[in-house]
Amino acid sequence: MRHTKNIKNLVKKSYLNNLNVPFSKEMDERILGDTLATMEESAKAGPALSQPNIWRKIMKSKIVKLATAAAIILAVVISVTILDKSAKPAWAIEQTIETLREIESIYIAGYFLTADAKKADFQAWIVPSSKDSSKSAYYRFEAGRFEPEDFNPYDQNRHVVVVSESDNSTYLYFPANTWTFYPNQKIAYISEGLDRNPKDPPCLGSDFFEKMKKQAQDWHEEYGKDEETGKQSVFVTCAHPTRMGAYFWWIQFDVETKLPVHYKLWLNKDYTGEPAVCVNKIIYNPKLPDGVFKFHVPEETKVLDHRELSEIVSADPTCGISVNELDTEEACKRVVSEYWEAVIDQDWEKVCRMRPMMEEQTWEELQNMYISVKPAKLLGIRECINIDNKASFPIVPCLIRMQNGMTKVGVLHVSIEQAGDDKRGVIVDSLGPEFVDP
Amino acid sequence: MLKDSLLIRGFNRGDKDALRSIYEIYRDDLLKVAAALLNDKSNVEDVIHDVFVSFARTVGTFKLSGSLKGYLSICIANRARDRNRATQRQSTIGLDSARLNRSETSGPDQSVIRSELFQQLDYAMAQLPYEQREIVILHLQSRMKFKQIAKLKGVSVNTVLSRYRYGLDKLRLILDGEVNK
Repeated sequence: MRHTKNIKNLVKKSYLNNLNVPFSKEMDERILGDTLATMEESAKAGPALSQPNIWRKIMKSKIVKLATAAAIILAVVISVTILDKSAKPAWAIEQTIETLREIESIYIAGYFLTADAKKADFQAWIVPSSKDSSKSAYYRFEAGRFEPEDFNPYDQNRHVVVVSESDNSTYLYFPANTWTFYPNQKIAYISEGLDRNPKDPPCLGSDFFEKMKKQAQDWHEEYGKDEETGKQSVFVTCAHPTRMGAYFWWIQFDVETKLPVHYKLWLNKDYTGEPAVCVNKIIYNPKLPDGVFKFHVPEETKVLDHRELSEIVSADPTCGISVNELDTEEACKRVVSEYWEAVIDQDWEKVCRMRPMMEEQTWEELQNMYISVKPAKLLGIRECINIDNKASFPIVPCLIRMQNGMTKVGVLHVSIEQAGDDKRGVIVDSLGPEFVDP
Repeated sequence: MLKDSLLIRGFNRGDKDALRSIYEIYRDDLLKVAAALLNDKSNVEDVIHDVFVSFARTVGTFKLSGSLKGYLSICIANRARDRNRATQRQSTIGLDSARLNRSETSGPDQSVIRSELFQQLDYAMAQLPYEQREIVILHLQSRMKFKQIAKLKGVSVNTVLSRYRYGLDKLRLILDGEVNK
């Protein structure tokens, strides 16, 4: 009996990959020729046919004519008022908002403080969403060691986040040396949706400053000059809440361009000590490197694709165990506990059901390994990591005693999936090797 | 892709290079979708032709929501369904002979003997009801999400999911039958 996932792989690898369709240059020319000719005809016909008809229809009515005239007069009055107002102050946030509407992409670089208060360099390329420019539609964030603006998609030592609106996916890559027990483990997570990390820098689109203008407290403006260039600047400090809680902002706007040129974020309202985030380079409409929003999986990287897991659980709702009415952390612990129980009892059917992403061959290897090392007792489950990061999976470390008396650490990725009305908890994969020394 | 938005912007301005790029980027994938969905492979070229010509008519007004590849794949699937219906009306041959016809009408490259597994799969795919085959192909070849398929086809996600599940189940039954013979 073949498993649903095997059928899927069979169709992909043995059918679709081998489905060769002969296609000649002549066919290409015929299709392209007709298509281009149609486009040309439609482009010519479109405006010539439609616009005058609509205009005539609208202007037939006297009331509409009057309303149109009134609207034009009103527009002129409003424009004059705005021009008049904008001439008065050297800078106003509204001018920044207006200027940012024309910005299509942004590059930022700076540093942030890690949990152990060390400075880590980062850079990001951002294309704001056309629906809400306070959020990015395309985003590449890199942290690690590199020269600013150095785009190298093949550098395996950078922590990378790529968000792509057209893929509707988020890619998250952790280089080796990220994990305590697994110094050589490289992991990439792929998930559906645009899950930007709350700690990532915000997207400085016009909507962001629009929201900031409405929500910010203790807004304070001070005019001065840029330390390096001597250009006239405005330095704004304010408290503006973000998803991570209140951040205290210091932003430098260039009076001439109206655009933000530097910003810093503090977690304390006194603006003392090193800022949590410092952005010292902002480039507007930069030349985007080719493939900057494309994610390359580095060699020997474990890839955990949430989209694939969701498909498997949707197609087979008997995967995993039901964890309705448990919160995420409790559910993760329950899943891990039941999984190790099944391994210890050698209930292979349940183990297989709880770990549905396992390939047939890998599954046989894993089963043989479990039989040879014989886990005997689950000694404890430690605190879950990454519970709230939707772009990765919760990570659950466990201590396990083997039948030979040795104690090992096993770290598992867990996922809580919605299958219809049921909440199912499944094991995704281990973080690295199945067992390591504590 | 970001490229999609830029290409559509160019296309709506009447830029021929943008349209040519769209065709060149997605042609191969769309060919596969058409070939996998059509009962008579000789219709593949016509279906691609019709879809691109219709697409070209939308110049200046085309609005993209989601991926362009997904949109074009759905157009191919809709055309392929119409073609299959038309072919069925014109001919009284059954599915088996239609399948046989497919390989007979293939070009020279296709005359290479395919693996036994490929033939089993080709046979099994042809046995699927069109609405199931369509979802399986759109999902696995065009890499469309169930939600996206549901939105573009105007049906619920659950309908798409159950068609996909039934499709894979049926494929499994057919293939297990073939293998165990």
